[in-house]
Parts: sequence; C-alpha cells; structure tokens
Amino acid sequence: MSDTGINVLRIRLNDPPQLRDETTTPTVSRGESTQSPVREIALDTRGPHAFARVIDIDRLYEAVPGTSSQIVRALELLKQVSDFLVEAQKSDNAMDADRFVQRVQLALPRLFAYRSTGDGFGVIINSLHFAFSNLHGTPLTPDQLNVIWRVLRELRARPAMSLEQAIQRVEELEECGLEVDPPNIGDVLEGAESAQDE
Amino acid sequence: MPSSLTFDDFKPFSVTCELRYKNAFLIYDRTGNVIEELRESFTDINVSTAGPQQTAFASEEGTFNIEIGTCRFTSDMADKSAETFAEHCKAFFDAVADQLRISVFTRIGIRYILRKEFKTEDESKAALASMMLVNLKPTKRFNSSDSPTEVLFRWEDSQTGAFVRLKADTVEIKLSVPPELQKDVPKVDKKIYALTLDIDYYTVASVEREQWNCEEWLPQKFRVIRKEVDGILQGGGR
Repeated sequence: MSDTGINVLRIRLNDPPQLRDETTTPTVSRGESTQSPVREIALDTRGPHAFARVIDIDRLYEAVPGTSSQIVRALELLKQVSDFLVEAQKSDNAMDADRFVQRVQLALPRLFAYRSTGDGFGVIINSLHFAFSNLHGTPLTPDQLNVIWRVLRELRARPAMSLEQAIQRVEELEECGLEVDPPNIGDVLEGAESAQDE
Repeated sequence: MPSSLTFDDFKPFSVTCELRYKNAFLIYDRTGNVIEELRESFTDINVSTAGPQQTAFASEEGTFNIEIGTCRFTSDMADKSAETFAEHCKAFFDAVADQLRISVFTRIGIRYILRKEFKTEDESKAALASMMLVNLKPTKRFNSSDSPTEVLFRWEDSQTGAFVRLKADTVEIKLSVPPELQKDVPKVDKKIYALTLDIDYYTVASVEREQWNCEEWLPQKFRVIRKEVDGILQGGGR
C-alpha cells in the first residue's frame, strides 16, 4: 500500500545561460540573456574533441611569489636533479660526471620528503636511493645514467604518477642493472627464493 | 582612488571544481559503483537525480554531479578550508576516474563565487562603479543604466585561462508554499542586494591524470585567485 502523494517542496534554479567556456555551477543565477542559436564556432579548438595538447607541468602548478607549495618545491628540485644528470651525461671527464651524480644522490632524501605528491613518487625516489646505495660508490654506466635521467624526467612530468606506473619505471631501473631493493630485503628475498627452489 | 574592497570583504557563496573528459561510456554501468565507493567518505549521500547520462547526488559536504563528459563537486565552503574542499574533491574525482577509467582530463576548472551584501541596489552599483574597472565615461548607454552593472574579464592562453566577473546583483528569493502547508511554512519573499564576485580558473590544455594532484592544485589555485582578485580590486583597473 502506498501513501497518497503529497506535494514536495522543490526549489529549482533556472539553468543559467552559459558563457562560451565556463565551469558549470548549479548556484549561479544570472540575469536573462537573449538566447543565441550559435554559441561557438563549429571548429573545436578546445574541449573533448579538440587536439589534445597536454599542459606544461610548470603551468599546471605555478610558483606564486610569497606562497609556499610542496609540489612546486618538488618540481624545482626534480628539475635541478635532471639538470645535474644532463651535465653528467655531457661531461667527458669521469670524475666530473661522478660529482654531478653525487649531487643527485644527495638530493634524494629531500625529494623523499615530498613523497605525498603521488603514490608513485615515493616508490621511485626510494628505489633510486637504494640503487645508489647498492652501487657502493661504483660509478653509473652511461646506460644507467640515461635511464635514471629518463625516469626522473618522467616523474617531473607526471608527479602524481600511480603506483603501477611507478613500478614499471622501477623495473626499467632494474633492467639496466640497478639493484633497487634495500640490501637486507634483497638478502631476505634471495633466501626465500633459494628456499623455494629447494 | 583605489577601491576599498578586498577579497576578504566578500563572503563565499559556492565553490565548484569540475573535470571534463572524453565521453566516458562506462557511466552507464558504473555510476552506482561510484556512489557506493563515496558512501565511505561522505555523510548521508542522497541521490537527487539519476539518469543514464547524468546523476546528481548530495551529502552534507556538498553536491556531486556525474555526466558522460564531465563531473563536478560543489560546496558552499561555509566553515571549510581550501584543504577540506580539496580532500572532498580528491575522494570524489578519484572514485569517478577509477570507475570510469579516465586517464586524461580535457579541462579542469574551479569556479568560486562570493558575495558582498549591500542595503540597497544603488549601493551595490556604486561599489562596482567605484572600482573603475572599465575605462568608459559614466554616461547613459543603450538608454539603460549610467554605469555597467556587470563587468567580465577573461585571460586565456594555450595552457590556462581565467575569468573574473563582478556584478551588482539583485537576488530574489521567493518560496511559494502550497496552500496545505501555508500555516506551517512561512512564505519567503526576500531581495538581497549584493556585489557578486565570480571567478573561473581553468586549464585550456589537457591534463593527464598522473600530472594532477588535486590536494596540491586546489589550495594553490585558491591562493592565486585571492592574490589576483585583490590585485584587481585594489587598483588593477587603472
């Protein structure tokens, strides 16, 4: 059995006439405009059907003078680190190259402090930290240098990288011969693997 | 003389964050999943409109809207910080992007609407005129008012854009009560004279999901809005 229907009070705002391109909001009550049948030129220069040009990361998170933003600082530091790696790649002298790489290594703990930027951010920085530790001072090969530079550049372009994407990047680091697990964890895993084999 | 108004003189009315994306056809199958996922993060979710292409629902924290090519969260911002708003947005947008498998946003926009109330319509118009945002002599045009009652500026390049709109508004609130409820519900017939400040800050270029950290982006954009609006109100018009 259902109750007799009653009037329910509803307040509805009229759909406001939209500007050419505005964030829709249910709360604007704008004065009446004369409706125009042609709102936009048919050529799509924006919106879902337009050519998808991806935003520049430095424009997405702009540094605002007088304010402090964690992601802006993280991006600045990532840029510095990438620049060091470029310098190391360019360098003809192995000692100079290694000096630039050491600067990268020193910046990693500061980058780790920005791990809340994204799920994948901490994973990549952490993996790089252990990759450097596991080298025990051995210089990076040109290939390893190139892969680290590419991974960090990718992280700068996509700082909110997902865990899955970060794991793929970490695998790239491993493929070029870098050991990204903490030394003791590596021992444990090796032990577990050999136990399984037996 | 610069206007004496600052951003802080305006009271937040509503704030909306909206994502646009290529038509997400999974909306037909997974809107329910989005709502169920959100029940863990929001209080008393109630669906107000449910349709194949559009679903609207509300909670104590704000109102939500999912459409085939866009989704948005709106809050009144009362007693809430930008960080809290960003937290709510993150929970909502993560659920939508995960369920509808959206990896690229074609536009991200934040629409912030504030009001400063005045006693009369003339006062709100005078406040707008005093800002001298438009370099036009105060004279009757189109046989209508002496000064513009609404001013809109838009800045845009290939990456981001923004508009700021100021309007001397008269908001009429009328609530007609059905006869059977008239003795219990008072009739409402009220006029509010206000200067409405309406800001829309948005991306023009597409944003990959892995670029966008909602909890960082939103508070940063609120700071930019505050700074830029103060600049405009405090003599940016000259």
